[in-house]
Order: sequence, then structure tokens, then C-alpha cells
Amino acid sequence: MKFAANMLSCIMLALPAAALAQDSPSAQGDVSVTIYNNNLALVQDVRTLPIARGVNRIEFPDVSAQIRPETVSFAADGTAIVEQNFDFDLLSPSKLMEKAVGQVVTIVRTNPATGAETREQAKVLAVNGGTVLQIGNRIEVLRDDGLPVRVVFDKVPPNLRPRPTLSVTVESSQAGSRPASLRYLTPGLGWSADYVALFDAKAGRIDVQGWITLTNSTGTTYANARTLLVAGEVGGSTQNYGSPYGRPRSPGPLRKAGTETADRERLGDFYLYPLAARTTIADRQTKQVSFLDVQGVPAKAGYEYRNDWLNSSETPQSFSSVVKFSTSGNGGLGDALPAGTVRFYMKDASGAPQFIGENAVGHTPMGSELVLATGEAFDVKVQPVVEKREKLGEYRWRTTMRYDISNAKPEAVNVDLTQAGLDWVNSDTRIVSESQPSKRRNSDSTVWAVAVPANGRTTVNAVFDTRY
Amino acid sequence: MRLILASLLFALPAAAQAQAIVTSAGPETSSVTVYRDPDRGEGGISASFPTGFALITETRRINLPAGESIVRFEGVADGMIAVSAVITGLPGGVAQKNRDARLLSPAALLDGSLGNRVHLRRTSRATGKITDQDAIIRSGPDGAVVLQTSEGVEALRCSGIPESLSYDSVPAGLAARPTLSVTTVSPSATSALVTLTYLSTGFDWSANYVAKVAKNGRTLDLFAWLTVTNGNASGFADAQLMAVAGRVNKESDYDSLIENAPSSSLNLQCWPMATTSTDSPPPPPPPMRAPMMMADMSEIVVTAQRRNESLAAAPVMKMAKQEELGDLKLYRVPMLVDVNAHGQKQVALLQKTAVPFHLYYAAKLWPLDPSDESQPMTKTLRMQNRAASNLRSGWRCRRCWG
Repeated sequence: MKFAANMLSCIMLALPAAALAQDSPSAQGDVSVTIYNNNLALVQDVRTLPIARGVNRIEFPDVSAQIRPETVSFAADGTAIVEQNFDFDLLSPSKLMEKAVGQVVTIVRTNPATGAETREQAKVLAVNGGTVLQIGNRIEVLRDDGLPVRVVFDKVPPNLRPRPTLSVTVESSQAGSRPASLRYLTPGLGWSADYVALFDAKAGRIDVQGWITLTNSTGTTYANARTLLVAGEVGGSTQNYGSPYGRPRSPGPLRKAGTETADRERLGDFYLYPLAARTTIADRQTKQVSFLDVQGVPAKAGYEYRNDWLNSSETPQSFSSVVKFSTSGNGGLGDALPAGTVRFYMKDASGAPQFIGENAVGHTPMGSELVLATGEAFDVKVQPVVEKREKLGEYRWRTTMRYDISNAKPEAVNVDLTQAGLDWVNSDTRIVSESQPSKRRNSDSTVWAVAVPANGRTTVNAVFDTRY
Repeated sequence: MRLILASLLFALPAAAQAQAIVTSAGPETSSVTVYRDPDRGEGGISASFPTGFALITETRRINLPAGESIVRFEGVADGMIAVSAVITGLPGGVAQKNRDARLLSPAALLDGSLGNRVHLRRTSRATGKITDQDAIIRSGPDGAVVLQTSEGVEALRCSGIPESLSYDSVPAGLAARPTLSVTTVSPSATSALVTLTYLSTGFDWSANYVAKVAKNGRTLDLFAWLTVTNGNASGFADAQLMAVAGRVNKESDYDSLIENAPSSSLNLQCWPMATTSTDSPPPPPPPMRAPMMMADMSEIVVTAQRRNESLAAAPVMKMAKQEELGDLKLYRVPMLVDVNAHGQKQVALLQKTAVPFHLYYAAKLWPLDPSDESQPMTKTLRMQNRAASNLRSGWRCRRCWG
């Protein structure tokens, strides 16, 4: 008898366990994933499904847990869609009890003294705060006395699932197994680029490795997926790499947009980065795949400081250390750069690479000039001083500026000093005199390229005639 | 019968993993370069939550089989920023880097076993008798556990009887800690010395200056500590310790780059359990705030000795050496030290003797700001950090007072 019961439970359990084994590759079929930069992906999943003739309800387990159900499209030969459902009524003890209202369950009482079990049939009358049962002609509250009572339900109620489930009802004109494709958009899958740049300031060279960084927080693993990354944001959301408030302190890294076409696959206005082999994108995984490895690109170190209009500093301020290089095929990286973070390293006295700062680049066409600030220079400083302000007329002012630049490095450096804010209020600003010629980059700012001697100082003087 | 079924069930996942998995338990040598929090300003460092970061370089000896293998790096700092990891020295290069944040936890065990067979064990409180039963998990881990047994459908731990689940195996892909793994294709079986470099949060450093005024009142001795804090649960034994001075640009939010594991706590809820005598449950206690240890440590502390006997501090044998690192300064601790988990370490940064200084009293006056009382002036020491003043050194101190 006992043996028979064991056999029975074994047979009962064998079927569902084998059908739903989690570790074996999921219910997904041939999966292709196209990932955009703005945390959005298009998933195509082709599964071979047996579809009977007539109306069928097909469930799709193992779709993205963050699926946008309104974007789902289903296609299989000889079928027409009747309806599509996304059920997120999840199975829990509370739901189990609520759905049992009006039905009969088995309760098993355990005698606390002897451990003897008594079975009774009970009807669930209501589940509001507590559970009210009818046993025979008695009305009882479940476990009102706190003594152990097991409640055994006959079956799991329909439409209660362990996970949100997508289902499609189709009308099929023929019977048989055939490939059915499911396409949907999901947030939670995104990518960006990460660059490792080893900068050799003395040799004026930079080695750049580019990595595609793919993140999956959808709650679902995509097994053995063909993966394509699109460098671009779709759907109109924009990413702002500068400061959202006011004018950025220094201009962004892209100084001259390139005009060369990179040797990459393109789709409309986007560049495509397909992964060479199929890959499994596990849930909660960050995956990095190399896409760029360039050695010995010419690069130059530089210094930049941007002074706001009428800014006078009490203490000297550091110049930004910048690294300048080109993405051109001729004397540069020779590729378009998808948006991401560039981390700079430099070798220390013992030859070990050390981190010297990072910066972000936007989508950068090939042939562009990039100037990336890595940090603040320890030894190269400037103290801007407003020496005097003279009122020339009702709306005319003369401003005398002095910039004291110091260099504590044992070698001479060239710095770019920018005075900004020249077209603030009104744009008829004139530079009356300056100690060395500047380049008026635009109406708002003018730049002096200053050579500062080793362990020395230089002063730049300028007089501005402005409306304010 | 059961045996056959079990072996059938578990044969599949094992066969799917064709790549060899090589685990590197820990580094042979390590070096830690600590960077200040660029946004900390002049405030002190928090010993329990350091907000700076560090570059960690480790060398590891790895025995690689020929062909494709997955190398797992264990024992890395928990604040590791996986996207910054650089791996060199693998003969076949790095095909793919993966960071898995799904951890083995009660909830993950349950979630990973969904639809699989588990064992339900009940212990009788009266007799101590243990009843074992097979069950299938029918619900996800969010609400609570619904089990299907040969008797019917039941909820776990709603009956008041001690009940627990046991599992046959750990679901695939669950690790004890977030793990970095790389895929590499090695041309031949070899033993490779691999260098792993990565950024990690949970570090900070600060310079603390102590100035001792000499008896003559005209010179002072300046001494500086390099204070390094490691707030990680991982320590680095016999590490080369360095600190970088200067403000480096930080673009990404490092905390958001450290992947958070999905909630690992298992929250078992039953059906409504109110009885005829229950009141509303008491509110949960407010969450404990982690204690913050903050000390403002950027100032120079000036001490003066009036006593005649010499109270010179113990002589310092090892002093951090300054190197140039591009436009930054790198201070190298000249010996190997242990950077302990949740620890703070101080080593000598610089020592300058007989620095001449000038003592004066300063006050800042504002026009149209009459004061009824006389105000005390600020006693101020002025020094120049140049070679003639014995103070030739890069010095980050903006507000020096006595």
C-alpha cells in the first residue's frame, strides 16, 4: 500500500517536473535581440509550437518580465489572432484562499499533545482579514485558537500564475507544428560603450580599447541569442551629456564633428554593432564584448581654463588637464565612437598603469576632433583678477583683466585660457588691448594660447570695452 | 525509479556547459591606488562609508586548458566597478567579460526551483516525528510559497506546523558573491600570469598635517599623515599602497554601476490570519541608521610645547615617496602593507623640520557693518612652500590656521 502511494506520487510528479525543468534551456526558441542605447530592446523569439485546427490559446512563458504587452506582434502560418492577454494575477497563499471562497477544502488538524491528525471537509465562506469556514453546520474562524491547522486545496485555480504570462488566442486553419514568431519591445536591456585609453604623454600616443557594455535587468535570461546593438536612441528620448543647468563649465569633448564614414554596418542613420557569435544574456548580468582595439594613436596633452565674465578668484585655480586626439582614419582612431565613458590610464614610475580620470563622449562620427578633460592639473594654475572697472558712459564700461598663470612642472607647458561671457546682455564687446593676441572663437568667448615656462610664471593682460 | 528520474533531470544542464570553468580564488600580488572623493572638498573622510575610490591591480596565476574556457575571478573588492575591469596576460585575449549579480539566497533558490521537485519536511511538535514529502513549487517567490503535493495544494508555513523545504541542487548561475568572469580561447594548455585591474568604490584618503612650533617661536616642524580608509569587506594583504593627489574627473555614478542583486530576502506571507481576538499588529521598529563616523581632518593642528625636555616624536623610518603621474601626484608607500577590510591605515606622508613661519593677527572688515563689541582677531601662521623654507613639496591645503 505504502509502496503504491509512493509510486503514485512519483508518477504524478514526474510529468510536470520534466516539462517545467528550469535549468534546461527555457521555453524560448530562436531568439534575436536588437538593443538600443536608451534602455530599450526589440526581442524576436521564434518558437516551434504545435497548433491545432480551430481556436487555440498559446501561452508564452519566459518572455521579458518587463515586456510592453502593447507592442507584441505574433505571426505563424495559417493563423489569425483572436485576442492577446497579458495576465499578471500571481499565485500566492492569499489569492489561493480568496479564489477558494464558496468551495470545499480539506483541513487537517494536528493534536498538539499526541500529534494525531484529524481530517475534515470545510467550506470557505469568506476571506476578509481572516478566513471564515463552515464545517458541517458549525461556523469557525481558521486557526482562531492558534493550534496547527493545515489547509489542503484540490487544485491551483486557473489564471493564477507564478510569473506574469503572455498568451495569444489564435484561430488556425490547419493543424500541426510550425514556427511562430513573437516580437516585442522591452525596457531593461540597454548598452553603452566603455573605452580604456592608455595615454603615454611623453611619446604623445594613446592605446584605445573599446568595449560594448550590455546590461540586462529585465528579469529574464535570453538564451543563445543573436545580438545586434544599434548606436542611437530611438523614440525621441535624448541623452544630455552636459550639465543641465546653465552653461557648461567647459565645452564638451567634441570640438569638430567628423565627415568620414566608418567601416561599420549601418541602418538608416544608425551604426550597427552585431556580436560575432550568439550569446546568452543572463538576468542581472553585465556583459562586455570588445569592439575596438587601436594602438599608438597620436594624442596630445593640454590644459584648458574657462573664466566666466567678471570672475575674480581669491586663490589660484587649477587648469583642466585634457587629452586631445582625432577619430579620423588618417592619423587617428579610425572609427566612429558610440556614446560611452572613456577611462584614461597612465603608467607610473614603476610601469604600472594608474587611473588619471574619465570623461563621457557622445556618439562621435569618424574624423572628429576630441578634447577630453581628465581632471584638474596639480601644478598648472591660473588666478583671474578683475583689476579695475571704469564707467565710460551711461552704457559703456571698461574692464581691465589680469590672469596670473603659474607652472610648477619642470617642463614648459602650453595652456588654452578662455575668457567667456563676452556677449552677455549685449554683444558689441571689443577687446581694447591684450598682452598677446587672442583668437575670438565666437561672439561669446576668446582664447589665448599661452606658453608657460618650466617652473615659471606668465601673466596675460586684457582690457575689454563692454556694454555692461 | 526515482534515481533514474533524478539522473535524467540533472544530466541536461551539465551537458549544456561545454566550456571549462577555471576559478581563480585570489591574487598573488596586489596593489591599491587610492583616490580622494573629488566632491568631498575639505571635509573629513567617513570611516564607515568612504566616498572615494581606488584602482586595484592584482596578478593571478591561472592554469588554462586548451580551447574555450571561462575564468572566474573570486575575492575581488565588493565595490568593484565591473565595466572598468581590464584583464591582460591571457594568451588568447578576452572574448567576453561578464559580471553576474544573481546571488545564491533563499529567494533565488526558491525562484530557481520553480516548477521543480523539492522536498517538504514537517516535524510534529508533539512527537518529534518527521514527515518527508515531495512537492512542486507553483508560485514565484514574491508573495509566498504555494506547493503541490500528492495530497493537494497547500501554502508553506501557514498551518502552524514547523515546515521547511529542501532542494536537490543549486540552480545554475547562482554564485555566493557577485563574480566577474571572462571567456577566453587558449591556444594550448598553459599557466598564465594574468593582471586584473579595476576601479572600486569604498575607499578614500586624506592628508592630515601636524605642525609643532619650536621653542624659539619662529620655526615649526611639519609632519603629515597619509590616512587611507577601506570600507570594503575585502582586505588586501601585502599590497603596494599608493595615493593620488589632484582632482580627477569622474563622469559616471559609480554607485549605480555596481549592480545590485535582486532582493535576496524571502518574504513569506500567508492568507489573512486575523482571528476573533487579534488587534492590528504593532508598527515595525524604525530602521536603524548606520552610525556615521565623521571627523574634520583637513586642518593643520598646531601644537606648542612649553616644557623644556624634548618630546620629539618617534623618528619615522619609512616615508611615502612622491612621483609625478601626468598632471597628478602619486604617493607611493615604500613597503608592502596590509590594507585591511573595514580598516583605516596611516603612514607618514611628509616631514619637514625648521620651517620658518610668520605669526600675525588677521581680521576681515566689511564696510557699513558696525559692531558694538570688539571682535577677536584670528591668529594666523603664514608659511611658504618653497625650497628655501624647507617646505618644497606639493601641498594641498587651502585653509591653514592655528
